[in-house]
Amino acid sequence: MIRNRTLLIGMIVLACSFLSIINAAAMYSTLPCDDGDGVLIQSEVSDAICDYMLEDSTYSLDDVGDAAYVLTFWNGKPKTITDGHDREVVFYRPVERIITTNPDNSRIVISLGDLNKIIATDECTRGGCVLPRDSNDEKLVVDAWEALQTYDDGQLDELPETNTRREIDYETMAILQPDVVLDTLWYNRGDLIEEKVGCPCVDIGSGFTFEENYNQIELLGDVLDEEERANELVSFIESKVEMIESVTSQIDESEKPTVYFAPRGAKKGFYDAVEGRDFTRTEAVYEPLTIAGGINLAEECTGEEINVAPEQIVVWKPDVIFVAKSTWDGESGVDFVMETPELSEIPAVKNDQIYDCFYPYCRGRPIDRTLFNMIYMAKRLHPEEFSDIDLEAEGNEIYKELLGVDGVFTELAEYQTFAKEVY
Amino acid sequence: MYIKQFVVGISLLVFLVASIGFASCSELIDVERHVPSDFSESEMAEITLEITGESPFMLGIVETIPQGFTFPETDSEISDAEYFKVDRDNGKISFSVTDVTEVTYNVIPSDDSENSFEGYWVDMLYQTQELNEGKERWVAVIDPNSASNGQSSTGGSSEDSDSGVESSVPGFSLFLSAASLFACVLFTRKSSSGGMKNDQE
Repeated sequence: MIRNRTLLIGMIVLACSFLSIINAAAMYSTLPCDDGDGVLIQSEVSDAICDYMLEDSTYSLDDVGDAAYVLTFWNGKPKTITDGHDREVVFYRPVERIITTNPDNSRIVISLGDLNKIIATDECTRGGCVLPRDSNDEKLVVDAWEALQTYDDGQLDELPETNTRREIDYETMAILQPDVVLDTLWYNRGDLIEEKVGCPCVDIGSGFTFEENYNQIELLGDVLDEEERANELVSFIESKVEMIESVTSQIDESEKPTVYFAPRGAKKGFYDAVEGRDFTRTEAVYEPLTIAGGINLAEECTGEEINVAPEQIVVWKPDVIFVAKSTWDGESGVDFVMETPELSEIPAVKNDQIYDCFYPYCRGRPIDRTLFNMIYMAKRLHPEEFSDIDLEAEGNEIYKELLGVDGVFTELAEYQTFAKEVY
Repeated sequence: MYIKQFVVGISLLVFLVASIGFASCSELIDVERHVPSDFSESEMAEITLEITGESPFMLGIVETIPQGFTFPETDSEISDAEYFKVDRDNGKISFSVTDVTEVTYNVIPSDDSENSFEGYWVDMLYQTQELNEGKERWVAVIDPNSASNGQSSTGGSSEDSDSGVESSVPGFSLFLSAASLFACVLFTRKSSSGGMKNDQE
């Protein structure tokens, strides 16, 4: 008898749990407090609020609060946005709980002022892609780590981790009941995430053209109802682009140096078979370089992942080579280029025009480094024209705008000392 | 046998508490109650709730009138607010207020009534990560003439916030629920195997 009773209680508890899961799934496909017509009106929401306040309601505070929000800010209707894969994503509730799967979206959510809405994230947001870590995985710029406080007064690396580079923990995501998952563009898995997690998923990311970055910021501003701040952020970036482009657009094409850009560095030589890249990997489109007044020798190359033959680099005869430094405190790839006999005859080597630059990736295409490289490359390629631009001040201003923290660039330049060479 | 019941009971209690959840609040809105300085027996008196806040705002307000007070017979006599509901049995009136700076309602005092109105309001547009909020965001209506003026709210029914349990981890409630569920299932399994053993013996 006791066994039966215990079994019964267990079954009741299990039933309650299943019920709450079903309710959670329904949350994302209907408006809260709706009478079934798909539109909330004042009387409908007000009735729900009055009942809730009298404690005579099945609605929770979350339900009535979300209904009030939808009525006030969305005219009582679900909100539909079109994401980076032209998917229509419908929101039935405001976004209060966010899961990001990559640092590019995390960074913009922070910039838009919604860090406290992130409830879980990926290994690289927790790692060193939004804020830096050294090659021993120790935090750099500790003040900035402490300044970026999550919902629980914790730091970024204290957020739950729900995905790595290739794997997503769908179960944990579903348990955390996010209002939205912000995923990258690379995998095109928005529908799969929506199906498995049971909430809207928006595919969007950064890029090496500024237009891609503006699109990302504006879309996330729309998703998070932070349009005004998104416009401010876009204007800020546009002002930096304008600062450089207004000068380089006046320079005759014949006076612009030709550049080979090695964005993956050269620490492992010409080519690393494990990752399928190194010095011979390049980018056909890298706007920071072209806006900075350089001619990208790979601009005619096609394909997603471009590896050129070393001989091609020799044939191109670049005036300048930028070799990205893949870690904040690690070794430079410049020595490899300078000391490799196959490259000894190219003008950049002969004229000592091989430079480090900021690594433009970090499980994405971080806008901070995109801007740093644009300003840094401009000062390298056209030192006289940009002598009045203070890279340190600009770098600090960019971090302040993106993360809200002062002095980050100054501290980072202690590790990436090449930046100080153009101060 | 009592231990078994105790464990199951505790698990269910934890499950229940976890389902309620907790949250913090911070508001920039205030609601102040103004009551007449004197009440005359059986004579209708007007209570005014003055709301200050930046538009847009949407509030829920509930007022509990003192014992001995009653509401007028018809709703139209009670208030001209656009959205309100009355619970006569419990002496309560609730309002849904959108961008309005004042709402009023009428009450009828009896001879031995005391001015001990009690009220709470909630900012409905406040956003939080918490999924299962209790009454932590219920804020007491300020009454300049009341002895209890200035006291912070403990909620209409203060059980939740008085429990002393705090969690600002979104999903923690769910975790607690899952843990209690797991304990319950584990116990059920243990109990079942124990029963079989007894049967075999």
